[in-house]
Amino acid sequence: MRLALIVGLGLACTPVWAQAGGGKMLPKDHPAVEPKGKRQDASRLTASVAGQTANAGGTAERRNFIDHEIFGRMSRDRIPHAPIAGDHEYFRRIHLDLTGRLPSPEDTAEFVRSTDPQKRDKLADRLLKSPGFLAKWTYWFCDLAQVNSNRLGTDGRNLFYQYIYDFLHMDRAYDEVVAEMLTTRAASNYYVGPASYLVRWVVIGDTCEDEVHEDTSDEIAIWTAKHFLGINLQCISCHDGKRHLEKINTHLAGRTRAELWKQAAFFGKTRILRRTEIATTRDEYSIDDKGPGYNAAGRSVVRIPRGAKGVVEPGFFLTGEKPRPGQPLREEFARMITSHPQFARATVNMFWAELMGVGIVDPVDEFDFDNKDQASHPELLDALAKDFRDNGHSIRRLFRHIVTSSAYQLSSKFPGEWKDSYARYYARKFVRRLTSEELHDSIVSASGIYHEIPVPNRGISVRYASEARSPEDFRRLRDVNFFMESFGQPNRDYSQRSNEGAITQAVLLMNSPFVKEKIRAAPGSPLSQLLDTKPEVPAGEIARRLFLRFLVREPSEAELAMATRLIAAGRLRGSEDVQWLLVNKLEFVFNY
Amino acid sequence: MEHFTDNFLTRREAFRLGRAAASGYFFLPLLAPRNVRAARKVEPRGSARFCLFFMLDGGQSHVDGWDLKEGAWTPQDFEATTLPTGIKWPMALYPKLAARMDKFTLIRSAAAWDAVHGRAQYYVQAAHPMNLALKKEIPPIGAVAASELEGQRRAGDTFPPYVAINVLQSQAGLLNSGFLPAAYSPFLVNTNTDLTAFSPDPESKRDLDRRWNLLLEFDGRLRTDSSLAAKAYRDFHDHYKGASRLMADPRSARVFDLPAADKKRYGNTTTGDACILARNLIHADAGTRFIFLQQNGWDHHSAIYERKNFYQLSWDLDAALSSLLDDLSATQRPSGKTLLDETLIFCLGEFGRTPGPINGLKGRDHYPTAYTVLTAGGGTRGGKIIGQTDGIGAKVVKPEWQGRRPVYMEDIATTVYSALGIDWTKTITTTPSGREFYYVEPVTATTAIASREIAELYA
Repeated sequence: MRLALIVGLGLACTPVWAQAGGGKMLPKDHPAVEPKGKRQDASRLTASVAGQTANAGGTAERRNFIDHEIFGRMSRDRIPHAPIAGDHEYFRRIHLDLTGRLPSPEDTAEFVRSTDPQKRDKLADRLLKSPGFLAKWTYWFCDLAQVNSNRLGTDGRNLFYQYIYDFLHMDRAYDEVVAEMLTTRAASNYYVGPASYLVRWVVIGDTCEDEVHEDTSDEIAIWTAKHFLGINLQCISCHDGKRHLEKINTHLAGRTRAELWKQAAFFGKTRILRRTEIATTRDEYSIDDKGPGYNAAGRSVVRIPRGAKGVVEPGFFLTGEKPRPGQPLREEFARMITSHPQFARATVNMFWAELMGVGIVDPVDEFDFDNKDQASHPELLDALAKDFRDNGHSIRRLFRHIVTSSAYQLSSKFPGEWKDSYARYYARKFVRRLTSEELHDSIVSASGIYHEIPVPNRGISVRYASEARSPEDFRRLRDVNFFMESFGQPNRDYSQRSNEGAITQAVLLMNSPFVKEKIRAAPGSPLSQLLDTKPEVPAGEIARRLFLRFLVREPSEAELAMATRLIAAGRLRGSEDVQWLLVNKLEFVFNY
Repeated sequence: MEHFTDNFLTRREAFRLGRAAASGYFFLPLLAPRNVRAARKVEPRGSARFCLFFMLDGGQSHVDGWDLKEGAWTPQDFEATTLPTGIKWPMALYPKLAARMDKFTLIRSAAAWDAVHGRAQYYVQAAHPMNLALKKEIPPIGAVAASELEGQRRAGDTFPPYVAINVLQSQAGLLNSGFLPAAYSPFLVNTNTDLTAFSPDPESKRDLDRRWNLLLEFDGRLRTDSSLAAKAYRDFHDHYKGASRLMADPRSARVFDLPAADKKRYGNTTTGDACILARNLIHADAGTRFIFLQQNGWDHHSAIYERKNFYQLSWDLDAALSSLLDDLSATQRPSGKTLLDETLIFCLGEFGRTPGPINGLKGRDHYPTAYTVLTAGGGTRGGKIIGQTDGIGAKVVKPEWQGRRPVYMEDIATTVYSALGIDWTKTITTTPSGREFYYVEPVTATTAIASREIAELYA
């Protein structure tokens, strides 16, 4: 059996794929290039050479400006890094990161077999246009914007989902999309998609119907700052930064609540009104700009009283800029926010964090402008932002830069002793637990046994959790819903996504109806087809294919021996046992 | 040969950003709280072994139910009756509870701090104001209790200390353990799912045992690797071990079994089922000490008097709670006390609903200024009413307890901790934010509050 397991310390050949296209190429006799197959002494750090950072884990090709920054810094500070991830590790990871689901075993085998030196770049390009990518990242945006039926109505939610999907599909300029969401007016968010972005933040009072005007403006100021500027205005929405934030955010420690009001005042004339004349239970809202302005004496149901009086004039939080006379406030706000350098910086940082595990500034919504040490790679952040701005604010391009870099492709396996200080250099891939949606999708795609997730009011069903419009779509699928909740799916309201472990999760992986159904060799399932294939597929080969399906890799010798033994002892039960074992294998729930 | 997924760290453990860690904190899962200090000497009552919160999610109308205020709006078929005790009761809605008044007390002088669902629901779980800067770290009452009662956990206890049932669809969501270890997060169970997942039948059990042993061999290296790099796996394996113990415990079959006869008696609803499960957990006494169960749907902004709204929910509540009180009080412990004596129960919404005439949509809106909380068990006396509101239920006019003001969640939390034998004046300073965490918050968003135990419950 072919064992493509990556072996421990210091497999150090410059990968074949890295030797053409993309970054610099080294001649085969270059001292930094180890001949294929020769193991490098793990404790010896080779000297840094131009264009390469060599270390115990092998050499990494600098493929783009990201790599120059990341590996340049590691070189400078003599930080060792992990080797480039092998094909299996990389293939699984990029599928999960870009599409939230596992690749098919056929695709895996083909990829690993391929000797095309550009196969990884081509894979990235293909995935970035795939339905899986669109589904996952539409879902992600809807998570960010907290899109659910409870707040926006099912129709509002569905339409906003479509709006985001379309913008990703067409790779529209992100700054235009943001400006559009910030300036949309609509008689109803049920028929104007982008309106739901702002509508979501309306603060409703005791009657569940009345808009609490200034609170709503505050919320919009807070959420737009979080999403588009990477700053957290929650704290100063209640009190001045002074004597509160000194240990938390030096810059915001010097800012005041009144300045937050000035930001909110850009939405002082914006009214988000619930349309209860249609039906009392519909969460349908209009949004217009006929409001009275932001009045500091306005009541609050979610914050301590403002304790001030009078209409507040708008002023942009980052610069103090006032809207130009005669210009509509929201358009001015959109202009200011999308043209400020922080917009691009916050955006690229946000996506960097998603793909690399941690932001260059972390957390991504806690930028501190007065903390010069906050960014781990300030020049890289600026370079990413500049590239983003100069190239039509293209999300796809940004993603491509990141996933085709060597930095992204480092293994999570680190030869030698790991030190906490290495983390800041991105010296290895950071492991994360799969989200509840990714876990669900991994289980259904690996088993090949799908089920329907109906999308209310659309007359369609989807198969992947990442295609759902919001977590509410799972509500009627009781056992699946429970599975999702137990793995930390949020409600896109006050509850946050959680990656904490829990006993329930283990119970469900071992014994839930959901998992038990998927690991069975049900008629028509891939496993049952495999078992029925004539001529009969040997036990060892079945084992191997199951590993490819579930773990996207080949089994080790010991694993293969055990799995083969189980299947040989009883093909049906043994295979189901192996599927169960693979789902419960700890690595199944992690993205490494 | 090394496994290629060895040697990694979770993002949390790997990442330290120095100064920015103040806002970029991560929780170390198994760190026990340090620097737990008591502010003053108090003597917790220690009258209850268990605590149960029965959450009426959405905000139950107090003036139509437990603090009945009749007016032109009151439906004729409420059957508002003056009971021998002098209390006016909507017999059509809560007939069963009417027959069990000796078992519970109504606090009619309760009030809430918030009038929006998310914040107010949060308050009931946490007894702290929702402070967005600290929300991630503040543990709910159940987690604090679980943490405090850890020392009483016995070797044979396999059930999680804090269990949440049917906490679905609320805006606040279910709070996890905050900065306290994840073991004290609520163990979520939904009764509308297949509970046999938790308690496999004998045949499934044999299969599971077989597979579990295979798994330990198959995945052994990852699960037993003691290096720091494999910590994430090891932590997850701890949950597996906990799960395995739970499922193997012979008591779990009884706990998760909801007999058809019981379901019928409890009203054949998910709420009834949740109460049966709670009863079973208490009866088993296998590690669970705090239960938070929820009934949804009380947010009657419109058409409150339609059958499917206030009526139906009240009937469901009536059947479930009455049966629970019956069953708990019927079971005696070796000490001579009943399970009801040992279980402190609070049944409440996050706020009341607007008193007086109904609104334009024929409903009632949120109303925090005055509402009613039902208390039972845990050594409390029962058969009493504490507090009075004005003619329409708009204001607390007679608090009738030592606090001499409306009863708030802080007072309820104090009462809960005291009943469980926990010193409620404790604080913890080693929180991620560095801000001192008070078991009972001394300051709401706007007010300093000297909270107290509602001792009148026991008098």
